[in-house]
Amino acid sequence: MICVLDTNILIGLLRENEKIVLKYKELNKSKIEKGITSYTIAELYEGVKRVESKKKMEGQLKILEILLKKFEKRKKIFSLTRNEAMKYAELKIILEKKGKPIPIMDLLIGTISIVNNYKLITTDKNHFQNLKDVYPSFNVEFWV
Amino acid sequence: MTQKTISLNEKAYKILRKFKGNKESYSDLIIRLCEVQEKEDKEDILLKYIGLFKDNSDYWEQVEKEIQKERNLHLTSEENK
Repeated sequence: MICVLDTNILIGLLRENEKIVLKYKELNKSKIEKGITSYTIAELYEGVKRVESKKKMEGQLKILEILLKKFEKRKKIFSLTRNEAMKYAELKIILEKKGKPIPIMDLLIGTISIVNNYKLITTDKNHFQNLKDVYPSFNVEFWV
Repeated sequence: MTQKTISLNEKAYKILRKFKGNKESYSDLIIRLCEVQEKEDKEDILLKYIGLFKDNSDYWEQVEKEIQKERNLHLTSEENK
């Protein structure tokens, strides 16, 4: 089993959010492999660029880069390939028809989890619950 | 023990030679390096990074808010925004 960690979980761990760290340590007992998506990397760097005082954070950005390289080395950075892209289109239309919009980034991350049978771990219950509603076998765990 | 012969190019040989201990054989060296790598591969990627951004928690909280704001701005269905 592979778990995909959403952006909010990754930041929560780095910031030492107590609840997230506790849950992570619990998860770690089962030696489950963890990965992230390329969309999380995009979000992290966009977020950093949008918030001022980036210069002060250069040291931390280097740490982040080392961490991302580790995920890369283990081939645990997931992206959309043909199968996921096709599923993304299908799910986007279903969500629209059901009147349950979710952020595009969430759908990209969720689709990767769905197609590969990965478990997604996130704090964002509102939107990912919409995806689970239209695709009940979507394996998602909310750390809220 | 059965011996197997492998060939190395000059570059690989020079790298290995740098790591080889005085009384260490090349077989022992390769085993030692592989064990180090194996251990590293088994280690959890994130455990030693937990809390590294704690001192700048406010900054990263802001980053997280920006990320969430951006997510909410780009929904799958325009008419339902």
